[in-house]
Amino acid sequence: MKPENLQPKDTIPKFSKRRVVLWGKDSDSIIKGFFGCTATVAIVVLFLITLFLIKEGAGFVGQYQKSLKLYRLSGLEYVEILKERRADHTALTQYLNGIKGEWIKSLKDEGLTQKDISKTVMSKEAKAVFIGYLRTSSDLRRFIKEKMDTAIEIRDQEITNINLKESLDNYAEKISLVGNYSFKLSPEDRAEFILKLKEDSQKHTFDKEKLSSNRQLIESLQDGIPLNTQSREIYLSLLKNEYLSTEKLIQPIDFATSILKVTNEKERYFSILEKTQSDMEAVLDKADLIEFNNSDLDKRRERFKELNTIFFNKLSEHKLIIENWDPNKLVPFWESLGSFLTGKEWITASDQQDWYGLIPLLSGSLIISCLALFIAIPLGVGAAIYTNQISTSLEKNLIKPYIEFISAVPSVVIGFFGVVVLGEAIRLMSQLGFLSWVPFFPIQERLNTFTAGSLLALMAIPTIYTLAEDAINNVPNHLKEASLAMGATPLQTTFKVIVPSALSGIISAIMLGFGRVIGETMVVLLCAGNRIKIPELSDGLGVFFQPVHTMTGIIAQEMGEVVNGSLHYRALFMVGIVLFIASLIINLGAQWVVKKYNKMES
Amino acid sequence: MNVNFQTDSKKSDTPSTPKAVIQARDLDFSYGDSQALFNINMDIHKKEVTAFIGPSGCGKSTFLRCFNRMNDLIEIAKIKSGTIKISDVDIYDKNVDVIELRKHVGMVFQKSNPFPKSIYENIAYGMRIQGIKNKKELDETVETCLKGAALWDEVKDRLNQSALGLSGGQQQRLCIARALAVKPKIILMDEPCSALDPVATAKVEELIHKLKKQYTIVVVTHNMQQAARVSDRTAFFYLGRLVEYGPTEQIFMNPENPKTEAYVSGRFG
Repeated sequence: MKPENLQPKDTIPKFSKRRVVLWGKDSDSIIKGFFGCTATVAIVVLFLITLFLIKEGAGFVGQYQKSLKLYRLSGLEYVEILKERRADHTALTQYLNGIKGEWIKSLKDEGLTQKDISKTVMSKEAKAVFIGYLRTSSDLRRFIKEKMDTAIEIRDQEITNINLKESLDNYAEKISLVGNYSFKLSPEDRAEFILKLKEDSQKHTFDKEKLSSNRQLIESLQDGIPLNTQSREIYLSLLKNEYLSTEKLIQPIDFATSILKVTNEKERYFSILEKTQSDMEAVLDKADLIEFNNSDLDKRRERFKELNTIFFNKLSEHKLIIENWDPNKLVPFWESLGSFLTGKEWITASDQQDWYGLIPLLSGSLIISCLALFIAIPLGVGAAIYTNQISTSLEKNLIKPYIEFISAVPSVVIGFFGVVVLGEAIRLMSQLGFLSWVPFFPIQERLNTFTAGSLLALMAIPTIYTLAEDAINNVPNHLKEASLAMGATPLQTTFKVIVPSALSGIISAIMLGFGRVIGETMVVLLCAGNRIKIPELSDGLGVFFQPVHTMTGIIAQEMGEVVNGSLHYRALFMVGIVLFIASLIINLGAQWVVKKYNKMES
Repeated sequence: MNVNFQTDSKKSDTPSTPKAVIQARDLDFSYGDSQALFNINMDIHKKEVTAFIGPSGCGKSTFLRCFNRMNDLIEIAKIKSGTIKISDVDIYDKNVDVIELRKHVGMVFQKSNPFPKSIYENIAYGMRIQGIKNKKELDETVETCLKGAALWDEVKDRLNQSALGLSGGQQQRLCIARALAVKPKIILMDEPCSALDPVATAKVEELIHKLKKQYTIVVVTHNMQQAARVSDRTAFFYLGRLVEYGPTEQIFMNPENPKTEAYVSGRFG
């Protein structure tokens, strides 16, 4: 370039306006606008999702409140209280059967033949106890069955009434619509009208005139044209007929009297209870006659008697509850919400009462997530420390992409692997003889918490690994240098300086891993076993080998088969809201940790 | 002096001047293909302050980092030929335990880099990594080191607060105190005052002056007045070569090499 080209030209500069590209905007502001729009769309969509979730879920409280109210008014709750007594008796019977089983076992150990054993066990005294005890509750059972049927009948009648009232409302609306002169037949209306006319014809098969007029009317009907007066009258009369016949079906229930059908005969109930008790006492007296010749069994017999005494002592309390039960007690809205949040049962499509309790699902989700994190944290964080601090760069280049590749495996594939390979392998392994010392082996269920948890761990590892590795990588190099220059070994430097400095980043990685795990659906649906039951902590470590159900799993499983707008449908949305809040808290927590960490760094 | 960082004690054959504690002989050093140091010969004397001066990129920091083998952290860095001996032990011998070497040769960095822990834990770190758990011993050393680094009076009431809450000058003195806690014989300082204001600089210089009585100190600096103020000997580096090395007065007042003269009089660099 010649030197004179560098000289500023001696011309007057033009400070003209920027070039306009589209709608009076230049390219910069169009690009800015585009990004602004995408950000807005993202926010709006998130807002709509939240709104939808809350709108669909919120109706649950009121609807569940109504359901619980009906449960109380119809007397089902009363029957449920009666059933407690029966359930206690059943538990006692099972205990007695347990004694019988052990007795047979001990006889077998003594070397008796099958014949002798059955002779001993079916001896007159033994029969009187074992079978006699079972029979003591037969009156009670019959009574409860009777009351339950009555209560269910009342409840069903009320539900029918509600449905009929709804269709009455529909008819009334339709009648007022048709009564309007500007009413035009829509295709659906026409189909309905024709159907009604045909039904009408079937009713009047001998009235030839009616038949032909109906037929003519059917042929003359057209969409989108106002009906003539005559056909409107026919349509109206048909609708009114249906209205009236539906109205006749409604049999209003007076709960104040109907409940008496359930709660009457208290005296009879108490006398049954007392008779049961005296029968049981008689059987217990006979129990002493059996000679077990075994101190363990004698002890269990004594224990059984103690349990019976406890059962007898509860009678007065039970009576009190029965006397004080009030069908008109109100069901406040927080009781329905509380029943959801703390309910221990999730029972749907039951012929008695549907229960929507969150606890079994929540505890299932939590136990699986905790197990998954328990496995994933050491592996993910350990791998991050190893690749960032210890390994050679060759190893790092091998390990890093492979771990990150795990997240590319579709969760349904991992779930499938869990069902077909892992679950089966664990069950087979638990049946191996030399592992029988493990307290909870052999396990019964192929699909359980452990299968799902270990696979979820696999899915959480890439998240935890990547974020933890980033956090460790972000520790300033000069800290490492300072530590090494003081004569610390590389391992000391890693664990005393680098990991503590990266700790908050690692914690947030773990929290995001937790978020990933608790929201995962496919793997838990396939591998968790889907048994809706609170895990039994009394099993010790065996709790990890029980099948459970999860919040995500139940939504995926049941959403397809519920009626839109029903109580069940709304219950699933409530579960969704709980899940949403849980994820929100976890993410906010992770953000808070990172923010605190950044503040400390600067 | 008892030097034990060589696991397989192998004494050198060549005798050394009695005062020389670090000896570099014919040192060639390179980062991959680009050579950073050419044929350096230097004796650094015991309990003196030696300053390395020179323009940026002349290799003075690289040379300093050879003394405690911090260059080992850079994969491509290696010594092509020559030796460095500390107390007559070749520190690049394969029998040398680099951990022991670094306990013997402490280092203070350009950017103050306290750990994100309490002041107390920063000083105690050097002892904890050696497995010392005795609380009394730790307390005593922390106090001695902070006093040694002239920081005790300023921080004695907040030993359990984060070291990151200290000012820049205090942080740098904390780093010096931290280096003292390992009980080194030699302290390397890589531009210790370049990020400090004049008041903090003066304090650190004063400290260097005080430490000289017990430690051999090598300090890299950009600031020629500082070199003149604190050092007994000065070495001038230029483009990876040691141009001139001698008593500080001589380097500043009467340099032999014209390049040295040009640099110390501020005509380039």
